Amino acid sequence: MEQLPVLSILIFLPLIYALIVPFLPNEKRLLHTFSTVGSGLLFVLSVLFWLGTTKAGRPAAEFMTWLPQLGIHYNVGADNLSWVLVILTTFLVLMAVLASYTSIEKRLKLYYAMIFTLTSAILGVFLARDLFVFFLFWELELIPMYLLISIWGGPRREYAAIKFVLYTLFGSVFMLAAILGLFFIARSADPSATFAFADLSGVSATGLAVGTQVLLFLGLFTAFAIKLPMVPFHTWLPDAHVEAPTPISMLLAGILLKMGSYGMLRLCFGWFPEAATVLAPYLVLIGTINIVYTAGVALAQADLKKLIAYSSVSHMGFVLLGLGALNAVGFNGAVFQMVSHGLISAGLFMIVGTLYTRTHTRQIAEMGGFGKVLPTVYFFALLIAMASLGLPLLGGFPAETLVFYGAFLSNAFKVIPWFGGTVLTLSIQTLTIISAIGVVLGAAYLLWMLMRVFMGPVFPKWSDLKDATPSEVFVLAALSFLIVAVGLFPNLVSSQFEREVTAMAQPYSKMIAELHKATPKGQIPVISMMSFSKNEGGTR
Amino acid sequence: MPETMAMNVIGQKDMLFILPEIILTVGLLAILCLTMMTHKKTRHENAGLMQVSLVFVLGSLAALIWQFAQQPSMEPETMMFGALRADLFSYVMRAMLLAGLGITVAISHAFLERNTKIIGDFYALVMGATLGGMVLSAANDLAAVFIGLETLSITSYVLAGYLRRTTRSAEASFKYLVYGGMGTAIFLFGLSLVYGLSGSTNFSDIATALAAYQGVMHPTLLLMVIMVFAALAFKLSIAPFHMWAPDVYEGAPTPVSAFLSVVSKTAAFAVTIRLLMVIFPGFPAWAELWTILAVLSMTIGNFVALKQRNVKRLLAYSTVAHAGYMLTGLVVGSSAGVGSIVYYLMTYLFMNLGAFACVIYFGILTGSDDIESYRGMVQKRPGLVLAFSIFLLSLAGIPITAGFFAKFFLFQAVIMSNPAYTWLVIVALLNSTVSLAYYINIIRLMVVKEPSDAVNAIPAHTSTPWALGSALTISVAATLLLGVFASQFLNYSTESVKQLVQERPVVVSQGLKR
Repeated sequence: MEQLPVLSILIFLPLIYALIVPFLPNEKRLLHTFSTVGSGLLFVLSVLFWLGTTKAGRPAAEFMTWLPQLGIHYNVGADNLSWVLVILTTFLVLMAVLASYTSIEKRLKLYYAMIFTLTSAILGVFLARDLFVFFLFWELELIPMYLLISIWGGPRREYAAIKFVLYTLFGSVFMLAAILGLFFIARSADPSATFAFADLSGVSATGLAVGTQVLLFLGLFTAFAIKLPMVPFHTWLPDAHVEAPTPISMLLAGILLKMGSYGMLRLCFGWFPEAATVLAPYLVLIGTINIVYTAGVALAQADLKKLIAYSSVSHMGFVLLGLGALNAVGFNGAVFQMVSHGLISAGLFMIVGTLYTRTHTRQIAEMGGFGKVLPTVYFFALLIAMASLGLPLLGGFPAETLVFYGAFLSNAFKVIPWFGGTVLTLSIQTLTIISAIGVVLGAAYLLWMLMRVFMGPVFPKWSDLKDATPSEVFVLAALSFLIVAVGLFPNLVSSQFEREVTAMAQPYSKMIAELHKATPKGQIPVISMMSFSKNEGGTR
Repeated sequence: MPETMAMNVIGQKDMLFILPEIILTVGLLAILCLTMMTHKKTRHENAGLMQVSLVFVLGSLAALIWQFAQQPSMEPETMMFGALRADLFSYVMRAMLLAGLGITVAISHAFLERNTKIIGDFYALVMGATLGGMVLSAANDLAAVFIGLETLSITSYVLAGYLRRTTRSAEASFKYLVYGGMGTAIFLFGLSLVYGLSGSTNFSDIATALAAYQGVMHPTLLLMVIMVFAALAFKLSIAPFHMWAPDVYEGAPTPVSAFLSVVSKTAAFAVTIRLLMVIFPGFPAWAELWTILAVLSMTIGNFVALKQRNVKRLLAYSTVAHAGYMLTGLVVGSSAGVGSIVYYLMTYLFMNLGAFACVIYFGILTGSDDIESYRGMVQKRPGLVLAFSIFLLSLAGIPITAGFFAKFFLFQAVIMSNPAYTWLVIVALLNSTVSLAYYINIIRLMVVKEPSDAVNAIPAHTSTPWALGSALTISVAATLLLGVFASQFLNYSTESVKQLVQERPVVVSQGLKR
């Protein structure tokens, strides 16, 4: 186990699958089975490797010289934060493959080849420890996703797919510029610096001007915010989600959005604490808008899948809120939300998918009384929706509680600096309370949705619908099981990543305390770029 | 002077240096003779002509590599009375030209056999054009530059009109001739000013003489720089001097478009880099001029390409855009920046020739160069569609293709050389985002859409001509592997440019600091 390059196996095994699939005979049964076994093996391996490296007591890392003259090396590694997301990925890929049994009919070879390429890219993003490798995998994910949406999607699939690609690429532009800028700064300080995370993470601590830090932060952040998605960059998501086939929606909501939040946490908040402190007020403000506004939009949707898509955006707002709290609780809450949102949103999209394969409509107005004809689906829908609206003892509750708790405790900002020296008198506490409205709205649209779809009289045309197939039951049951397990034993999940994530929040408490100390007594501290430049005069 | 020996007689060394050119010339003559001897123009004879040309091209490439392997230290040396310069740069560029020629020969046969009866002349002409390009990329003297350029240009005019019975081809040839003649005239005028100011045609003498004008805004000097640059921009088909390219590429036979867009462009870049690095480093208006041209070229190229329906026209605009990206390396002018251009050209060679090879193949299958006619092609020719997709994604800069690496290295070099040009990199990246829209549109039509009637009519299995097939395989392999195994290629590219820069260290450092 010690000698095995476990991380590289995880990254490249799906790619090998993708190369094998096109050469298999064109039989549906065989292709489904191959992919199920393959992704099952991947899931089992990821759990085994994770247990193995935990037992070994040191984080897994693999290194290979690649382009030394440019400071680029193949460098992958995994701490527990990465492992949690890797296992979430392999699990959801398995679920997506199982969900494909009923929802994907045509061109299966290409379909599975693309799914596995996508898996490789996502795992690469979570495991990369070199910024070039990170960027490479980040871009690699684009084309498979484009094809998955544009071939197997709904009526407006081609528009949705190209929109997704162009939005993501637009973000990558600024990410790449920031990556190169950061590397330039690192190289000027230390000519032997490479693209390794270890070499770049400390750059901001070397007395880099806050203005530059903010630019680099924003460059990286743009790409992640589009992926998250953050208002106002979220408009690609409802299109992509609605048009994508069910398994792809599950992967999109379950994992792809997590690439954005993961990048934010590790690269933006982890590497540029000063910039993060300056920008936190705005991020929390936008996060609040994310939560409340998109929840409101979800309330107004007539299309079931669109409703779920907006609810997904709304819940990703909690990640922003948690990160903006700039403390250990908030960060932990954000990561917890990534995990539970991954499970819950995948579950919700699976519910929508099972309904759609039967009715071929997504209009809520055309549905009704499904509780009577589809009791199994109804049961799971109820459970997952309850988890989504944050019912205690289910997966969504601990995450949202942690985020709210962290944000409420936070002293990240009391006022938001605004144009021309004015301030918005919104503290993070006020914004937290406002975002709680989002939870209320969430309960409203989810319950109302359940009522309209599953209760009431059965429409005559739906009276002979068949209840969930075994594969669907399996997917829903597996997801629900984890949602309940996470809700019942939140400690089991949070204890995995707690140490690393808390360490990331370490620099913030001291810095914020100092900033508060610097403000004269009786005044409200205003944290802006100025607060740092005052200190710099002394230290340089 | 150590050069006096070489100045007096053509020695064995000189002959060995130009051995690849000699082999190519012999090949050219042999093909002409064989064409005259084969009257019947049977399939068999035609294939023989192609095979003979390939043998000579590969022989020339082998001679080049052999020569290169003989000199591990690679000390730059002038050859042929100082007209040529044997340095790493000349070897790298000539190898690329020969590789490009080899692929062109291999992909053109199937096309020619379908469209014309006269096949041998084509090979003789492309070999002649490449010969000009090879002289151009080793040139160390204005006279050699001009001879090389004219050999390349005049054969290219003829090639563009190769299908003389087709109106479009004849039109392309005429347009190219008129525009090209104009470009040459301007270039020659610029060179005469160079000669007038420096009193020499030898590069190193010119460089020494012109160094005296450092920082002086002399009107003649400015006129000279503008004229030389405009002519080079024309040869590189950089906006706003790109007008000829789409018309010529669309009208010319597809293999000729492929040749012009890759081999001819590589040679033009070779002479541009050499002139700029050796003669004009640190001239005032240089960076500013190239910046404007770079931005114009990539923006116009990409946005106009969005609207194209003919795939050859689309690729023409795409080459305009790519020339724009590459110019960013010239803007910073550092050896890393310019070295990345050389690496970019290596990847560009395979991906663009590969894309044209696919266009040729599709043209044979569907009889059309209309993008719409590729609709649903994946159901008939999955392998070919995969290859074309790889080339297009590489052109768009999507990993793990070589195009991604080339763009990354280029932009990294630009920022590392001068972070003030970060904005230029952002403009280039935004442009490549735009470019993905039209590249992916072709993939969308081929993969996502249901087959068109033209595609449905294609027989399920026809065997691929071996030359076209192997050229495609080589291009796909290079496009996939050149990036992942970039280390050595990148070393050659950067080192080759470093040798050019080292010639005048003082001036160069001033040029870089600005």
